[in-house]
Amino acid sequence: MTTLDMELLLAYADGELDAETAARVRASIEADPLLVARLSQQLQLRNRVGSAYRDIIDEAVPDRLLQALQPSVATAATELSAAREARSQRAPPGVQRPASSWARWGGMAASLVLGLSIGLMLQIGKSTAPFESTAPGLLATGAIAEALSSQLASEPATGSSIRLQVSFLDHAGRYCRTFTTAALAGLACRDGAAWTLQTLLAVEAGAGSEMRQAGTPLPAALLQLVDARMRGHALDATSERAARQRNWQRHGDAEAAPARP
Amino acid sequence: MTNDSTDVLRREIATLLPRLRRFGRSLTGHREDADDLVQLAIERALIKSRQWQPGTRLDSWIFRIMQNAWIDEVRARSRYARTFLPPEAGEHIAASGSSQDDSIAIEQAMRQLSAEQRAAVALVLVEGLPYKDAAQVLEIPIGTLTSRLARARETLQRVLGAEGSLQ
Repeated sequence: MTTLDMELLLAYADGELDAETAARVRASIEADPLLVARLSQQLQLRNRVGSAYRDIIDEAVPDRLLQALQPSVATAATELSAAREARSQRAPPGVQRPASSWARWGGMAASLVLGLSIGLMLQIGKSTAPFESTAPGLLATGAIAEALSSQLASEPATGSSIRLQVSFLDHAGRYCRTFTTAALAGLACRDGAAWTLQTLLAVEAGAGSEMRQAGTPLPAALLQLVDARMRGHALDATSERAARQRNWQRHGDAEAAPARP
Repeated sequence: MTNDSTDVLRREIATLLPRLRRFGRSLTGHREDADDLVQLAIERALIKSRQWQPGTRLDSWIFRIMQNAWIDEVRARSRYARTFLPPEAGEHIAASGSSQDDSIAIEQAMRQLSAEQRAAVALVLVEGLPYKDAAQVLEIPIGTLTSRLARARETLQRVLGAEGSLQ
């Protein structure tokens, strides 16, 4: 792949392209399973980097920053070293945890079945494309978004080629769900009113009919991702139904899965 | 700028604090450095408040102040070869939060980037700024931003182990 192609693909993953160019890039992706894999890698990377810093937003803002906004200190330190010295005391160091044997992504791409046309998956969204490239990443739209919001893993919908398998809370406290279509397996997480795609894997075309049965194993790479992202346990049927009722918003519900010890 | 408009600026900066802290963290990789940087930027922004034009992005303006201050700091520290504190001295980036293991892996990968690449990743991948706004913060052409981003992502993929499996 040329540099230009890669930068176009990145711009697509970042939601930077105008509609016409995005359509052209989408058509290229459709014709090239390697590009599906590249796009999937980039979406995962974007999500991982974003998630790594997500919790900072919810931290309490240190007093010294609030004080810096007070009128009286407008003439205070203007050098970083001065700000550092002005700091009265260092926060206690965070609790260190040993690095886990976090599932590496090497296996993910290997499970992609090259040669499969992504066109199959582009057709399932009725008249609309199932994914939309936007600033926060790739959003599920159309039939997949509808299934993510409405279908329960415990009650597979009849007459839909989309199946939901596992619903869980991730470490950032978002609801995430795995889904499969005839040609595709993926993980999407709820961000506000949207479902953002965390990963997208092509599945063997021959597995399509099996995929329609609940309980069919997901691709190993997807399960690894679920395992890495899941906080506590997967939602049971009752919790899943309750989550759907709240439109997959947390609202400080008390029945969240317990954190890992 | 009148006192009233300075008060407005103070209030608006206050609402931005969580994001400024996050940008500081993704830029520096270190909790205390990040808050030092935010504090410095607040003080500079209030002193230079006349330079901010209401109606333009306040976050971009302060991001730029932070980025410039950090580049100065990186240059100063590089003379003493202590740009980044060792991990055991600095808290990892999400000490109080969840998904710590992956946060550590990401932060370690981010340490492989140049300061310029790191800033591009922080603005686009973490803060979600459009290319146009990120390029303005960094005062570089969009083409330079996109190539920095591409190189940074290549490095991150390689370090995080996702690269190579398709080759």
